[in-house]
Amino acid sequence: MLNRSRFTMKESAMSVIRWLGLAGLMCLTLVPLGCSPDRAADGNNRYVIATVVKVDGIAWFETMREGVEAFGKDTGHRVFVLGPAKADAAEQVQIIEGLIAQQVDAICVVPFSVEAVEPVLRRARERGIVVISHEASSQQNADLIIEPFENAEYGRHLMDELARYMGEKGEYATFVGSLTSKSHNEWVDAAVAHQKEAYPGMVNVAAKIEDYDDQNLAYEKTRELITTYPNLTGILGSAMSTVPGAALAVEERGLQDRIQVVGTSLVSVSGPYLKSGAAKLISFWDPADAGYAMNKLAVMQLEGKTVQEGADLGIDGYRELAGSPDRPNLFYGSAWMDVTKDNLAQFETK
Amino acid sequence: MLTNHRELLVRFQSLIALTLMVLALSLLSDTFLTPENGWNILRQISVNLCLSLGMTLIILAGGIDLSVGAILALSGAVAAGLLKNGVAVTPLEVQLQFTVFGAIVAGLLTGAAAGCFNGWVITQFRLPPFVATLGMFSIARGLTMLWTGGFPITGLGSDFGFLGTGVFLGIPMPVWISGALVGALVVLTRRTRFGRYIYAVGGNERAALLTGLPVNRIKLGVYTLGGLLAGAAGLIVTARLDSAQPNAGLGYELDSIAAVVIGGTSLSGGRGSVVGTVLGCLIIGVLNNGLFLLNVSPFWQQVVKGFVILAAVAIDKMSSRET
Amino acid sequence: MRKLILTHEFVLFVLVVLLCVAIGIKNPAFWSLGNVFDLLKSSVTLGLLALGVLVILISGDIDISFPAIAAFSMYVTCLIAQATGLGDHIAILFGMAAATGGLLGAFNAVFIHFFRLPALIVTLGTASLIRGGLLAFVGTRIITDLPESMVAFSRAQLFRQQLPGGETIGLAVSIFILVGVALLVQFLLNHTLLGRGIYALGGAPEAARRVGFNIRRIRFFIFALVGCLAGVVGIIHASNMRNANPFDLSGLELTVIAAVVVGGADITGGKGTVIGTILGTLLLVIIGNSLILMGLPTEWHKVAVGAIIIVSAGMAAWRRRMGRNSGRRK
Repeated sequence: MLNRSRFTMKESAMSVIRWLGLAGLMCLTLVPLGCSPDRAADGNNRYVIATVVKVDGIAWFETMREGVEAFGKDTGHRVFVLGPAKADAAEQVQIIEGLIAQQVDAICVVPFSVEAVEPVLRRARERGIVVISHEASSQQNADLIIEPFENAEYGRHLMDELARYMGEKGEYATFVGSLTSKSHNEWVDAAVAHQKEAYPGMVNVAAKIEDYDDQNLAYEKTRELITTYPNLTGILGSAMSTVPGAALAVEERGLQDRIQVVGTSLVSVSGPYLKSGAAKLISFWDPADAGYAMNKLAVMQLEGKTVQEGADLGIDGYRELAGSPDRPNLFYGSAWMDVTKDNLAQFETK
Repeated sequence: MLTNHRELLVRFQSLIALTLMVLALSLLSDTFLTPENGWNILRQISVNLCLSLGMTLIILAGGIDLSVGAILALSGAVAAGLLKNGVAVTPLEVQLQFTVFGAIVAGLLTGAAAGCFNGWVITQFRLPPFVATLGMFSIARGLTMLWTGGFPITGLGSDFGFLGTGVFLGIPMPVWISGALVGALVVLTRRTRFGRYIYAVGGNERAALLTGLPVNRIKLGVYTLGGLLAGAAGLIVTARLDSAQPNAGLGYELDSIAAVVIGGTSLSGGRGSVVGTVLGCLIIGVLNNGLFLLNVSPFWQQVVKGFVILAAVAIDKMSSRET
Repeated sequence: MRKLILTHEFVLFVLVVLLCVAIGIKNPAFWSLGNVFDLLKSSVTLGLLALGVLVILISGDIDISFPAIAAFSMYVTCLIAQATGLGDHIAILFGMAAATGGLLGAFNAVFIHFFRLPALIVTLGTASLIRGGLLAFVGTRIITDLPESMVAFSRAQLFRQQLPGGETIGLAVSIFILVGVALLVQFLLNHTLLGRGIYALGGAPEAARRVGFNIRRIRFFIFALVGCLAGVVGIIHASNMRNANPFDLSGLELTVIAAVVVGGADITGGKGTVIGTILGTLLLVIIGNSLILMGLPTEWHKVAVGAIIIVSAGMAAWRRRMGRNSGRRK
């Protein structure tokens, strides 16, 4: 009996030691990370500005991080970029809640879903935090909204290009990342409406195929489209993943002369296909510039400057902002860039 | 006496770990120990807590449920859709408008029905729970896409939003809801016959059957409750986001299984507690919050989470082997 | 004859044929050579993973970490190839990725065997560790300049045919890998002692141990096997996509397990066949890749897959009960 008790005492001590070990290990992993800049404001007229992106780590937002950090270097304000590990509206909301608790001065947000962040952005603004939002032209709870361009205009532009390559006739299909991504839907809606008006010779045979920002899915869906619509001659992409996925399928079938792939993408993933001719044109706005512009606007707002039509944010594409007739806090840049085989060399780093 | 000591220590392992984490984090971050941050943590874990409570019952009964995240999305979408658009009763040519209360009930019933279907398939067709709920996962996700057409349902109004963003007596509504559910389930598992039966079924199903327990009915009840709680979680998420997102709750099933396991409930059934699960949720919530406050990359958070899951099961296993 | 007709594989085969006929009637383009080749190519990655999971399920365990292992092996291999120029031959890359994957799989087995932890929770934890570790420490950037040999591999085809419209279609050479692995697994399961051990372990672990099977060796082998296959899948995926994206291949675990379960494997262990798994894979690939062809909204996809999972697993359970009853009658 005595023996047994002593034994169990030793054991219980062991189990506590194990947990202590675990906790110790965790602290060890945390300590070196604890040195990262803390996000509380200091009194030196430097603002703390957080930029919250849709998903951390992916190419698009890594480029945006470069722009935000460049702004930090230029101005001395404390800036940082953060976002959830997976595309989930609820996780983005949690991050913003955390930033409110840390009392940052401004939050720049690229919402995963415009509506889903409304309640938490309202709370942030009630607490005196400046809110700038991007890719969210319908945002209600924001001090300022900066769009790289007017979505409908961009959609019409893409359609004009697609029509030019297709010779203004033939069947085409449109892709969106997902039906929840608002800007993709606005581009495609405007593009298709424009086609019906301006290019009666073209037919939209498959509308808003979703590829969930997955290149493999874009590839498989394009193959299926090619099988289903033997007369398909055009594809209009919205997500970064559509053009490389679709162009791959087109190239594999040797159809680059027949099927024209046009859409939003980055040179880093679509460059090879522009070179090979499987994709004809990609268009994009530089996320680094957008990140810079958002942070610049945040500082202007914090310093009490009014932002008006024609304002110059000091960065290409945002040198003369356009306003919106019915939304005084909504501004557009003219930031899209077209890349084709011919000017590819200038954009190698994008 | 000493044996009791030891049991206490084993039982409070996760509590000790949690305390140590809180201590470490309050030293490392100025924001961590503020009341606002505390409410943030509680508000943020409330969804996972609802799911994990149901998951605890299911795992205690020796099962598993992979469909809770999908049921969450479906219930939220159904409630939001009914609230926003009502439902057309074609033969009567009326458009039924739903009140906030009606939509909440409909969302909960949707969750319960999906859970009940899980239980029905598992008990009647003897499907392994893993497979049956995998099927339900796919079906519920598909139904959500069909119901919403892939678009989020937005603009639900402040009355419904109160469930997710409101504050009552200084405490956020999601915390009220999840807290009340915790209380109810503690009573259910400790003070009712049904609760004892759940442990009996999970501990040794054959023995439970031989002693004449209505095993199938118990399992059916457990899965239905799991679905109902997933429905409640769906309502909270939908209200918090003021919109039903068709892709809501992606991957949440694994988070809730992790919380249950970290809370010391055995995956083979029959051993564990609701309170343990609450601690498990808190550990995950505090960890995520702390790493966020320390500006650690979210991918690091995944690493740490994986590590904690492995450590928690390993430690649990080692201490249970010693007994 | 009656025995053949009642097997799960036969019913599944009939289902696949009926589905093909139905889609073919709705849209004859389904039967075009190009589409058939496309479907076969799409089956390769899913099929390889399914074969690995089949072996795991037969042994009574489960693994949900293989997509993370695939992404990790793929990305690390491509990084090493890029840094060292060691990618002249595709076989080296496959070897490297398979070895990485095998090691990670063995890591799972350490926890499962020595700590006697449930495989579901172990692989849930390691999946989080591996994917998080990949993104936090190794990198998040997409590698676009893959070794030439990978691009060449993705272009290699068994047949190539030029259609009148200038369209070329071909059967990807990667299908060979699937066929080869399927034959290997078939041989392993049915004609080796190890295979018998795997079935025995899943059917009755205690009995298997008493009979003298080396449980530890079997466990390590099967988890390493899944890891190796995941590594191979990683390289095939990166070759097909012509880039290595560390975010890719996520969320595959449930689809793959579904394919194996639809193929008649029992999640509780001891049951499952290679031919069933291949048919299950084909069924899911055909459904997933024919919605546009049939003009169906994509939303129906998941409902259909879920229903098929429940029905086919129910079928297997029902047959099990029938089998038990008829056994009793004897």
